[in-house]
Amino acid sequence: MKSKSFDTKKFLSQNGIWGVLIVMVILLTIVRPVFISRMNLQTLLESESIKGILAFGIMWAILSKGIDLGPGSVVALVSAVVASLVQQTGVTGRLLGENGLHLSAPLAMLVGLLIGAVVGLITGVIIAYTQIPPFIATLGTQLICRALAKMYTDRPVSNLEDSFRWIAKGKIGPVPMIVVVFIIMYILTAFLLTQTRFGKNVYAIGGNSQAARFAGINVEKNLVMVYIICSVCAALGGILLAARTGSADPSSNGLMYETDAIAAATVGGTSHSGGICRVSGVLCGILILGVINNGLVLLGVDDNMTNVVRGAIIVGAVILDMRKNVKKA
Amino acid sequence: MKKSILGLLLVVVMCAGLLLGCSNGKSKTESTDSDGGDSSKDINVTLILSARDEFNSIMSREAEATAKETGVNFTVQDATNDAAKQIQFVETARNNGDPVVIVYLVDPSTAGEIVEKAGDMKVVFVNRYPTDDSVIKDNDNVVYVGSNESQGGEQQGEALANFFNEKGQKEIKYVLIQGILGNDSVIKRTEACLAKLEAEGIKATEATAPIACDWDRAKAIDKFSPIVSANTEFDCVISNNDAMAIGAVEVLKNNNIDPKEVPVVGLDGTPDGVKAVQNEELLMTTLQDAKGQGKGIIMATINLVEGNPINDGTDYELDESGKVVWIAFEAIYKDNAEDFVDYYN
Repeated sequence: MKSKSFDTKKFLSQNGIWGVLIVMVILLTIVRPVFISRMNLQTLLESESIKGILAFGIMWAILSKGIDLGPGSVVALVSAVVASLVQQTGVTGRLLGENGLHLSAPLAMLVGLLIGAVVGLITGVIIAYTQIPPFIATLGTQLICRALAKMYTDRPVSNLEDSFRWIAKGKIGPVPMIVVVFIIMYILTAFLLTQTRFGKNVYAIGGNSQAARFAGINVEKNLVMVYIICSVCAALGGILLAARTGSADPSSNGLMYETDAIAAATVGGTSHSGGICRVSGVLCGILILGVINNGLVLLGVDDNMTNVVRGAIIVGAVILDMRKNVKKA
Repeated sequence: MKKSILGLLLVVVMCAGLLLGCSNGKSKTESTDSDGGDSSKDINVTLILSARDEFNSIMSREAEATAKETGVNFTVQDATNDAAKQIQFVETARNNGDPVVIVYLVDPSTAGEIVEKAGDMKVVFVNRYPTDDSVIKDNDNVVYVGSNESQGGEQQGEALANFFNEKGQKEIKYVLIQGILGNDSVIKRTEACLAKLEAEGIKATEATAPIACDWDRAKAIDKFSPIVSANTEFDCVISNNDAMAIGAVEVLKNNNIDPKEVPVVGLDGTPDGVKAVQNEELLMTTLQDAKGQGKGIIMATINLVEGNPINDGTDYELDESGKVVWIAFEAIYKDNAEDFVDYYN
C-alpha cells in the first residue's frame, strides 16, 4: 500500500509537466476552438520542429552537466553553406558563380552535417581536454560560427532547388517531411539515451564525473561525442531552416535558437545539475513552448507579452525542478 | 602532462589563427588606400555600422567603391548592435585625427552622445535619423544622408489603395508584419502606410494584432501560419520589409491562397523581393537605395571637408536646411521590376 502511493507521487513529479500541457491545450481550445484544428496543430509542429531538434541535441550537453551556446550559430553557418550548394544554377548573383559548384540535395546535406560534426568535434575536444567551462568554450563556438557564416556570404542565399526544399516542404501522406524528421530524431535520441551504453555513460558523467571515471568510463571520449551530437542536431536544424524558408540569411538565421532550445530542454525537466533527463520530458517542453508561441498569436496577444509569459514559465520550471531534486537528495 | 601540452597547443593554434586573420584584414584596407589612384584628397574616414546585414553590406561596398574612385581612405567597423561599442569606435576615430566619421546609428537616441564624443570631428549620420533632430539642426558639423522611411510606407499604402479602389472595395482588413518593435523605421513605415490608405478613402482595420517578426523570413512564416490556419479573415498583408513579405507569401501559397487575390506588399527592393514582384507574388515593393546611400555618404564626407554643399557631385535632393540629403525610395511594380533585377548584382 505504502509503496503504491509512493509510485503515484513519483509518476506525478515525473509526468506533471504533461498535465500542464494538457491544461494549456484545453484552456486554449475553449477560448479559440480553432486551436485544435488539424491545420493549426500541423502548423504548430512545423514551427517547432527545428528548435525541437536543437533541443534534443542540447539535452545531451545539459545532461553531461555542460551547456552548448553554439547551435544557433551552427544553424546559420550550415544553412548558408548548404543553401549555396543547392542554389539554382544560372541565376544572376548566385553565390558560387552562375554556373559554379552545385551539389545534389543529399550530398549538400551531407556536407552540412559534416560541418556540424567538425564544429562539435573541435568544441568537444576543447571542453574535454582543456577542461575550460563549456559555457565559455561554446560561447567561442557561437561567436566564431556566426562570423564564419557572415564571412561566407553577406547576403541571404535564396532561389534554392525544389528537390532540396522537399526535405522540409514535402509530405508523406498528410504529414509534412519536417515533422517526420523531427519524429525520427525523437526516436533516435530516445534510443541512444536509454538503450545504449553511451547513453548510460552520459547519465553517469553528468551525475558525478569522478565516480564515472572510477567506474572505468572514458569521460573525455564521451564528452566529445556529446558535443558532436549536439552540433550535428544543430546542423540538421540549419538544413531544415534553409529548406523551409527557401533562403539562408547569415545574420538572422538561427539567432537565439539556442536559448529556445535550452528553454525547451529545461522546461522538460532536464536538470542543469547534470545526470537527470527524460526525452519525453524534452518533447513535452518543446510542445509547451510551441503551444505558448502559437496560442498567444491566435489570441492576438501583444508580442512583448509573449516573451514575459515564456520567461516566467522557464524560471518557474527550473524552480520546480530544483525543489524536486533537492527532495530526492 | 599530455593534457596541458594539448591545451597549450590549442591556444597557440588559435592565437596564430587570430593574428593571421587580423593581418589579412589590415592588408586589405591598406590596399584600398594605395589603390586610390588620383588620390590627392587624403581624407581618412571610418563608417561605423550598427551591424552587418544584407542592406548594410551593399551600402558599405558601394561606399568603398566610391571611396576608391575619389581617393578617400575608407574603413568599416561593425558595432554589432552595441551602442556603447559604437561610441568607442567614434572616440578611436577622433583620437586618430580623422576629419569626418560616418555613423549608422545603433540607437537613434544616442546621436547627441555621439556628436559630443566626436569633438571637432564632423559627423555624417546615415540611414537612421536621430530621434532628436536638433542634433543636426543646431550643429554645423553634423549632417544626415538617408531615405525617408515614411516615403516607403506611403508608397505601400498607395499600392494597396489603388488595388482596392480598382476593385471598388472601401473597407479592408489587413495583417501587419512588423520588424523589431520600437525601431524607428518600423513605426514610420507602418504609420505612413496606414495614413496613406486613409487619405485615399480606404477604411483599413486590423484583422488581428500586429505580429513582430524581427525582419526575419523564418519568423514571419512561424507567426503568420497560425493566423492563416485559424481562418482569420483578411484582405491584404502589409510587411515592413521584403524578407518577411516573402515569408508571408510562402504561408499563403502553402494554404492555397492566391497572393494575386490577397495582395502582400514588401519594402526594400531586395533581389528576392524584386523577383517576387515579377512573379506576381508581391503586389509591390519599394527600393531603399542602399547603393545611393553608400555613394551619398562618401560624397558628403568629401564635400564637408572641402566646404561644398553636401550633395555636390550627386543627383540627390538636399532639403532646405542644407544638412539633410534624401535618397528617394522607388516603387517597384510588375511593369518596372525588370529595371531593378540587376540593381544589386
